Amino acid sequence: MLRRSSSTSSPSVVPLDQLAPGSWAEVVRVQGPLRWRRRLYALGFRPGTRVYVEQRAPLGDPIQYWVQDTWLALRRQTARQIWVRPVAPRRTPPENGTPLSEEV
Amino acid sequence: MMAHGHVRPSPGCPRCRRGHAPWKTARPEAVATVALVGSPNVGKTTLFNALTGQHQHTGNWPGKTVTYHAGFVEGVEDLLLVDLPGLYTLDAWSPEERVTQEQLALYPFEGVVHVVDAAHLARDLYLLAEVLETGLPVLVALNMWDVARREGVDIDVDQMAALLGVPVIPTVARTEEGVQALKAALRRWLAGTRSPGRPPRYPQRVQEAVERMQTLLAPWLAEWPLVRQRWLALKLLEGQLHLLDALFPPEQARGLRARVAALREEYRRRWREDPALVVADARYGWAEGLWRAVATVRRERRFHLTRAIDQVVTHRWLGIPLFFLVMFLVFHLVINLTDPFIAWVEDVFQGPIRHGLLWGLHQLGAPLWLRSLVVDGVLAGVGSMMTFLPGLTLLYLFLAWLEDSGYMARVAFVMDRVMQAVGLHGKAVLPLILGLGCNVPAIYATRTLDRWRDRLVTALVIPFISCSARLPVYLVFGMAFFGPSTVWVVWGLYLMGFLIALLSAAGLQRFLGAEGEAGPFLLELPPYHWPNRRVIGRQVRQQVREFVVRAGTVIVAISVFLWVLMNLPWGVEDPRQSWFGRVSTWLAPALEPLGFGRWEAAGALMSGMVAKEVVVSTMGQIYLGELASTPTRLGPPSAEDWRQDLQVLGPGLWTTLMEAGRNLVGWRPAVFTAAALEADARLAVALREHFTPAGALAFVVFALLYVPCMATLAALYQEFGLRWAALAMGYQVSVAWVSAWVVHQVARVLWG
Repeated sequence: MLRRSSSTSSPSVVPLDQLAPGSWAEVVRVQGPLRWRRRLYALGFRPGTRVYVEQRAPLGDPIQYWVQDTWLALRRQTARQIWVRPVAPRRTPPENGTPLSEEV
Repeated sequence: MMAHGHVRPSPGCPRCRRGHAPWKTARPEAVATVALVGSPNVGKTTLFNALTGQHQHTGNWPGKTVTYHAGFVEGVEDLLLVDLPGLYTLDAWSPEERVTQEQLALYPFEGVVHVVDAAHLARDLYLLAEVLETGLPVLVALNMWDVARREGVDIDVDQMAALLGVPVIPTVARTEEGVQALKAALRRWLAGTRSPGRPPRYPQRVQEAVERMQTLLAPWLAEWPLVRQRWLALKLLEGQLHLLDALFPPEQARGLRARVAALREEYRRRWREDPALVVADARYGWAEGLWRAVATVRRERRFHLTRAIDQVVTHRWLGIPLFFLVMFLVFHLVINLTDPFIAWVEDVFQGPIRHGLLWGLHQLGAPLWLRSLVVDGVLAGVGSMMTFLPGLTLLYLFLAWLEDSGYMARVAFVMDRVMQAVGLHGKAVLPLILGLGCNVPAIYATRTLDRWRDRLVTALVIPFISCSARLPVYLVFGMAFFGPSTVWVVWGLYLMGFLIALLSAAGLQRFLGAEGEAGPFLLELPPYHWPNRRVIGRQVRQQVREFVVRAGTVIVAISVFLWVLMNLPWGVEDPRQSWFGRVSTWLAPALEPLGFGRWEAAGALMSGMVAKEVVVSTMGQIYLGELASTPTRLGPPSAEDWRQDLQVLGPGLWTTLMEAGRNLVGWRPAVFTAAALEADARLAVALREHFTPAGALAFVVFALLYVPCMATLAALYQEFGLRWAALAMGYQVSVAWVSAWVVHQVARVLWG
């Protein structure tokens, strides 16, 4: 019974708090208690959505993200529960619109 | 469908012992009751205010510390709108969310108005799916329509209404655009048939499980025809078992809980998935489908201004200094602009109003004790409340402005790391710092925190922050005992206050335990906008009114209580023989271990409940025998009195305005104006006779930490109720006692 979820063992999947500001990523899965997951889901951190890392707060925590058309700040300890796959910025905005890629 | 004006019975409240409809007390014959729901930052409260105007009723949910607002909609007769606490999903973790969920499950609303943010429609659609699931008739207000347009989000309103099967009305709550259309829609909606709309569909296996849950519940709900059974079954399948506690008496709830949990477990074992996540997925699928069908995003640059401002405001090096600069400015304006007015308000109360009352009482032939009660008890209380008003009003104004503009969220972002260390939310920084000026507005400033629990912990520790009224106490004792090292004593006290506040916060968070795990830290950073005058004005008016009504009552009551203590038995000359003196004498032994177990010290501290600086004047009165309570002051005012009163009202006001104007331009370090207070040499001598240096140090520590003043208690009472206000008082006195004891012991050892 040593089977591990293929998504977490893949080297390209990292916790969200590890990403440098200015990078894009796609959410792979969210860990933690069910209630946490549902709250994060509701705000857009769910498998398949794209997240942009804007900046860290002056004291290093929390970190500001752009997800589902809004700026949201998460503490590191929360961001650590969100596993993502880094992706190159998309040129054309999907349904949610990612105009940041043009601005950055 | 219910016709407009039909009165529905309340849902059997006697059985669950939790009142479901507190607002009913506002007007029992209220007919159509409609709930207002929406996520935070969508302008729900603004829309509520725009719809109801001044006709609002505010209070607490029974058994909960969550505030509710209900109000009649202007121009739509007999429509009571209930503003439910904002939430992102209909999960219930925090008390606020529980209120919303339980109300929607149990109370027979005629319908729900769901406020969504048109500019971020995609995100609000999840909640909309959940609201439609309740089976209640829904009306959607597409708020922030102007922002959506500006940002290039086009929404096909007709298409959306057709797909949802419910009315959809675009609005701009801030400018009240579309509010009339919304009212018209509400009127039509209430008069006609109201459709519950089309919620998402779930996979067959979930549908079946919901039906089984409904069958399980049916016998229990036989007497509850109005409870939304299907929705309740769905929520229970999702694991929201606390709904049972809201609905049934404890034994029944326990029995049902086991059976409901078993059914849930059976599903999980059989399908190897959590029904809650399957349902959530169905909602997302539905939401995405709807979004694609109704919205188009034109490619435009968005939020460039917000990002530009944020580059400065949340900058690595600039962010924190900028926050302190903003705080400094707010302090400067609030303290220096209102300082002259506080003195003037005091003059008006001590002069014209007092004299007018005395004259009237004299004409009526009122006995002296009644005159004293009216002017020294009631009027003193009202006067002390009024002195808070100029500062509070201005502060409410700044806070509302900073909050509405979006800056407050950035403050929380920048300072969160510091607050995290003691288990507080980033937004708690602002109230803590405001406490340096005055604890009362600081406690009200905790309203900017979203969660009740964070609000409570922050407000409970604010009284340890040394407010400006405590400085005179430090200075008088410092001058008498510590000479030039007074500066260090004062700094030490300020630091001690902050440390104890932070430690208490960490301790309280741990002590309050389980309820605190209300989910992950999330902070939305909304785009900046220029605050709307009308919105701010309305909010400030409402807050000031609440302060006057709720805190004012407590302040007057405490003031009268102290009057009784000081003046009874009537005609008492020696303060020690008054009830006040007797209570002080009785309390004094408790202060003995602290090095100042004398009735004078106890009495001074007790009178310091009015305001901390009173400690100094009471000591003067007691030690120097200046306790002036001669009956002549209660006689009819003389011609000279009236002349002085005219002086106060005319030229006095002018001087006050001029001084405020000068303060606005010039800088005056207001926190230290008390330093100008001339240390009374005679009092210093008297203090040296009665206190040891160690006792004096312990006394100022006690003065720093025990109950700040009756206004602070009133604020705590207004915000958190009697129980917490009483607990806070007990906690503060205990902390003060222990700290003073430690300081006294250490000082005695050090100084021999």
